[in-house]
Amino acid sequence: MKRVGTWWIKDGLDARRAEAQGFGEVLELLSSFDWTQDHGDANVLKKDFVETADYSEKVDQVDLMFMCSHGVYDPDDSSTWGHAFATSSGSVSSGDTIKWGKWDLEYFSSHACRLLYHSSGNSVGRWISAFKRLHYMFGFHTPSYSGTTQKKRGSKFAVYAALHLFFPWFFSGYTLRAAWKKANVEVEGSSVKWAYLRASGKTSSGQWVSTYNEKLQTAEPKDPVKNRTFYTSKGSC
Amino acid sequence: MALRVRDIKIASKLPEIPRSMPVFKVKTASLDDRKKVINMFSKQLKLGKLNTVTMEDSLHFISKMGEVQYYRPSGALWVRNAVADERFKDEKRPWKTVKVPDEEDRENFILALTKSETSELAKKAHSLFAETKLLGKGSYFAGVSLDQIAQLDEKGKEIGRFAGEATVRFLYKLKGVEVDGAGAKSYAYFNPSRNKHELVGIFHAWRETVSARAVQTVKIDEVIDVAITKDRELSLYHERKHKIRLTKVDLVYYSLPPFMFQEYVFPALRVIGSVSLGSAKKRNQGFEFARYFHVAPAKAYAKANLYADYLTTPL
Repeated sequence: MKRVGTWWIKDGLDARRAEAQGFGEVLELLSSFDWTQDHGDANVLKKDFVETADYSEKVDQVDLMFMCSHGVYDPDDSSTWGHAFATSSGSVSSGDTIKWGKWDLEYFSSHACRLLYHSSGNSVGRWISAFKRLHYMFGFHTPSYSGTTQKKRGSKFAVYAALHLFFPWFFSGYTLRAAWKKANVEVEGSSVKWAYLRASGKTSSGQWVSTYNEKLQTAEPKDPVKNRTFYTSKGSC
Repeated sequence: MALRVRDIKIASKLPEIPRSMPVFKVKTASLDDRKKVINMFSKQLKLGKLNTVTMEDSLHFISKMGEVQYYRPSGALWVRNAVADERFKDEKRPWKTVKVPDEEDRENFILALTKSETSELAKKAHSLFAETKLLGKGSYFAGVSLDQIAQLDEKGKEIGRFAGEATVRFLYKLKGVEVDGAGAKSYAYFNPSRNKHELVGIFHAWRETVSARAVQTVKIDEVIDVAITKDRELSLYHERKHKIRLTKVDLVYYSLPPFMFQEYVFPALRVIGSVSLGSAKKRNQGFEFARYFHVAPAKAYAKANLYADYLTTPL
């Protein structure tokens, strides 16, 4: 059974709740997926994302997750862009001790503005230390919009990532990166840029794992943990 | 205390909003209207025998090779050969490229197609859209963009930059004003090939205009005073004593996503703003927000006899 998590901070816009929960609602329609974590507003806690002594981080109790909260940085200083995202108990920074995938997490997705910003002077490689056994981070290079017309981002991403699981006899499926791109082309204007960061490498037993063509599956995928190389991609919505 | 105009710092040139602007009535292309195009693209992209499934707002014509998605509320189309990408071992595509400065970040560079490659792809995409009569009035060529790829080592050091899939982009203007939103784009996606560059997908979202009716708008100061200061999100930040700045403000027409029904394309203010705690100790504790706001009040739409929930509810 694959477990799904959603985290959302409304900040006055209920569309942000719907955007995240839509991801869980769609995947729960599949018998092999269980939406087990759903945390909103004051219950979005930093300790569920960073290593915390004597605590089991909730983000690592799921295989895939979607989150709606702000990217935290100094908007006037591009060297700070993409370094952190908000929770209700403080921001989670790429400098924190994070081990996503330590137990379960394979796919992290967030609409936080500029979380995956990449430039020569400010590399998205800042998040690599968070990749314990994580395969993908999905996010944005630019600000992303929030509101009525973006509230289906989570459900659309889930539908396209899982279309082959709904209709396995008809369709071979979109890769996860293609599903992220398609969902964002559908909800954003052309000035917004989607992005992702992914790892490829060897499993602990030395088998090569490429995540390039990775699709959502019901079985546990093999995890890249050593001799890794990372790819980041960004493009127009 | 309630958020007031003077609590918001304007750090952007503000657009002038004409006293009245046309609102465009648009139509949804039916499945019958699209059948010929669906057949043509499914053959061209070698999708094979298609099976029809219905999902919420769309009809998906799917095969093991890919799909055609027809969005019922708008008549938009997504066509994709889903396996075309899988022939490559990673995101890199062997295009002929040049390094150019990134317009949004002058210290950065991006990879762009050479002029001859750009011209070839633009011609190819234009003839495809012309042949299918998909490009609507007001469309314009907005360039060819390449997905920007960077490969990093385990320590985060950039090993190389590469070009990815190419997107030939056509966008839209009405009466000289940009139409923004997910419902105003015609894209063709290509991969390079030695002999002939390969079309791997299209996304066409545009509702044809059929008529226009003038609606009285309000001045930019009033939009800020009425729509922005009353906004629940910004009011909440003000209550928390955050400082609010509007950093980019543009007047656009707004086209809803293809999975939503829209009868009228209307003017809106596209706003990017930043929020900071203002304390020197928390210099990095800011964030940005990006939203759309109405520039015509509900009563102006009622006066023009235009009724739709999206004309009067927050965007």
